[in-house]
Amino acid sequence: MKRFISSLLVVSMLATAVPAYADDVPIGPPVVAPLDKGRPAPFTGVLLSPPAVAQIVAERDSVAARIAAEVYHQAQIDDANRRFDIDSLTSTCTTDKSILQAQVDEGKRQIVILNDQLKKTTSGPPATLWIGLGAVAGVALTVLTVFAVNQVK
Amino acid sequence: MGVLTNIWGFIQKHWQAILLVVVLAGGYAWLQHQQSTFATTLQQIDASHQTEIDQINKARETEKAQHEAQLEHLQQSLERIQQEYSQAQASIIATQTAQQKQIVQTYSNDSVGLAKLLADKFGFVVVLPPAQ
Repeated sequence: MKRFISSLLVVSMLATAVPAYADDVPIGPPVVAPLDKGRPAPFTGVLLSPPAVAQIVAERDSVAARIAAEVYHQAQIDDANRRFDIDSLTSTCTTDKSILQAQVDEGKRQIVILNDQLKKTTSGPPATLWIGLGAVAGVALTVLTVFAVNQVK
Repeated sequence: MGVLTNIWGFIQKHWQAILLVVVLAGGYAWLQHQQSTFATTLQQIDASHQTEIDQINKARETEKAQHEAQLEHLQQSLERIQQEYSQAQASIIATQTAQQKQIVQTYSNDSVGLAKLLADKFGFVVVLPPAQ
């Protein structure tokens, strides 16, 4: 029974646990107090000379201009680099195109040369002329053969 | 007439050899013609290849020259950008210095005005000292 109750308590504590956070340390609003020479300071802090205040104010006022200058500077660098990349790739593509065109032209020239060679090889008298010449040569060869045989006899 | 008879007799006697010589001579001439034709074709193909090689080399040289020019242009652009950046930085510093001088001159003896200026710029609360 005791075990059951203790287990129930543990489970209920774990189930209903709520995180607790410490409170922030209270700080007052930022203040600045004018202080003439020789007068006691109203609180513990930092005393700035007029040039120090002037530098802080001027630094703060020039932040926008510095950011604009930095952004413009980086944008110009990026623009120059991108322009270089584009020009470089354009040159490479143009060169590749020229090379491919040269290869295509070479192929066309070879086709013309080989076609000419083929025409020279296959051109000549028509087939009827070759048939006629063959017939004449056959007759002549037959006559010569007969003549030669008769001569041998 | 006797000469022709002798020639005819010679032909009748050696017609096989004559025919062989004629056939060999014809075959040799045909082979020479074929070889000449093939050589001419090969020369034409070789010339065509050389034209292609020249075009490719010219394209590569053009590309190389363009790359060098582009690289030089990039260097010039980066130098110009750096000069403009330096000028902008100098201008900002000059403006800042002038503002500092103006603030010092204006508020060197005005602690309240200096405190208000600082408060306006950064959102501070001005705490005036108790009057003596």
